[in-house]
Amino acid sequence: MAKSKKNITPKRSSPGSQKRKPTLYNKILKIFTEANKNVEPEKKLSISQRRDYIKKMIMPNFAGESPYRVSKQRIDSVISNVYQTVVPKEGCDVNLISPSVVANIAWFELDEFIVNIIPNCVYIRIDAGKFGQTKIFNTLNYDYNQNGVRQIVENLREYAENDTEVDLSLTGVKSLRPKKKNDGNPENYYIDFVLVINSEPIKDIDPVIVNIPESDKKEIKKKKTKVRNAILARVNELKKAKRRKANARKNAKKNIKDLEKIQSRYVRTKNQEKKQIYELTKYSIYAKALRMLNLSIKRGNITKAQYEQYFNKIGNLAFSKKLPKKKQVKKATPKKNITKKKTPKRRKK
Amino acid sequence: MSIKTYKREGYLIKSKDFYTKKKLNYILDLIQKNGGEAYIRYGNFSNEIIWEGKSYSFPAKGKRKHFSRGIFLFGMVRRDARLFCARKKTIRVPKKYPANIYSYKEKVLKGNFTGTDVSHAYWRIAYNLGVISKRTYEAGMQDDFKSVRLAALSTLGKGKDYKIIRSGKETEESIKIGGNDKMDNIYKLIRYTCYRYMNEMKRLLKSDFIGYRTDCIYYIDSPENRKIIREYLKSKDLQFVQLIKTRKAIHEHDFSESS
Repeated sequence: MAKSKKNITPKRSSPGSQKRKPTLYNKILKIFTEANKNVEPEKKLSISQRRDYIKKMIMPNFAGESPYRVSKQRIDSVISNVYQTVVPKEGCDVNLISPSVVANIAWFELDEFIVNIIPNCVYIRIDAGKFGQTKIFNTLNYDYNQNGVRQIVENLREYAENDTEVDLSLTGVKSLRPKKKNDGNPENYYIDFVLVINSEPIKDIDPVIVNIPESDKKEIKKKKTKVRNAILARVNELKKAKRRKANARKNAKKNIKDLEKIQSRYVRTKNQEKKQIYELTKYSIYAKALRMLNLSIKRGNITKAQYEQYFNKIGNLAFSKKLPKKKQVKKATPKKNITKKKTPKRRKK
Repeated sequence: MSIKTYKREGYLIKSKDFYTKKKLNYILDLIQKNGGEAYIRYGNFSNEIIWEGKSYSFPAKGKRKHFSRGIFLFGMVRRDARLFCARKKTIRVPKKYPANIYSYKEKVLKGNFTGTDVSHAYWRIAYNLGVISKRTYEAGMQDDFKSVRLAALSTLGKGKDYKIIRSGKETEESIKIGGNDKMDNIYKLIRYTCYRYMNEMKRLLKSDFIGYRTDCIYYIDSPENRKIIREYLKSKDLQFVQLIKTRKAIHEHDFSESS
């Protein structure tokens, strides 16, 4: 008996699922992503960097050409030229990162630390116990929200606000990635940032020790020192920038205070001579304050919103004929130590 | 055992941070677990750990409000001292006279004695010699700053000694960071100048001299002796305080080094 052909009804395609024509941009991006996987960690590029390079350096080479006419080989050769211009990052090997550099990081500086201090080519994880835990991710494509760091920081913030005497920090511990060998390969390690509450870590800190052959020890020590100095230089730069910003705000507030003093004397005095003197003093302080404000905004030490806020205040004080308003000081209420148990929110899949 | 010396702390320290006292043991624990070498120093006011380029400072004892307030003087004194060193090619240290002298052989002396205490002797001498500027001098004149003034002058040119930590354990080996002989000679210049003045007053008082201890001189009370001492100290542009209540007995141990 002949086999009967089954009536196979063709699958209906859902509306709107028509295959799109491939664009040159998408083709290049796909090939670039594949090439990025095979490149050494020091030269790997994040998705935003790849998009930037495609726009500025790769697409102009194939302007006006059809994606079907551009071969993979041509795209590969342009991509390899791009990689030659990429400056290799330092410190992409967790084994070269000094433990003192990743020790004792304040919980509120965690995001800043990951973005600015730690090399953006290493694997890390944040383990804050009951406050949350992230997966092991690479800092190359770090996102504050998507990687789960924000949720942990918010949970820690709530805890710290309820108990002002608690000391919360995170310490980085070199650990082995799951199912990887302890053979010194940089890809096999990650830094586990463990939460420390009042100088007691939430779990045992046992860093992984790599056996280095005697012949390589000198060279590795040299590389370690170089990476450590580069990271600490970034730390110092950040501290300087913070201090500059704090000083700019402090100076602006001081100038406002000086203006308020002079203004109140100017309004209160009935002696016309003194009034003139106070008025001149007021204008000189106003000129100084404005000069400092303009310098601060030019150097990036204050934001535009802060500039406008201070500018309006000093302007109102300098040209007003009324007494400056006194700030109402609210009485501080003692905070209650409420320890709320909160389970970390599950991320939606 | 030779001690390794580092001229500048910048060679070992790339970043500094301040922590609470409780963190000291925690950092030592981390050093032990991670291995490697670190350096530790226990000071009167702060303890310090240097670990892989980072310096961790911790307060040593309870808060000392007046000392924490006058810390800016250290920087001012050091800056002035550096300028002083730059102006002088060499700093000649005068002859060293004893810091304390008791001239009588009898152990206890009874009679009418008096004493003159030179006010803030080292600080004033430092200003008179040009080691510190007028601004620094006036800034340090508050009563609260007495210990800070002395500390700022005495630590000039002094290096810091650190013990080496290996595999998490403190060893007996140490290293030295900093230290400047020329700056160290400045403090010697100030001290020896003070002792020289005391010795000159001793010579002027002749047999009426009883003893002196660093910056306070004791002698037999008489208007002539008081005048000699007053005029001498004024000629050296030093301020002083006359002891009003004359002592009826002076013992040898009042002038010994240890008292």
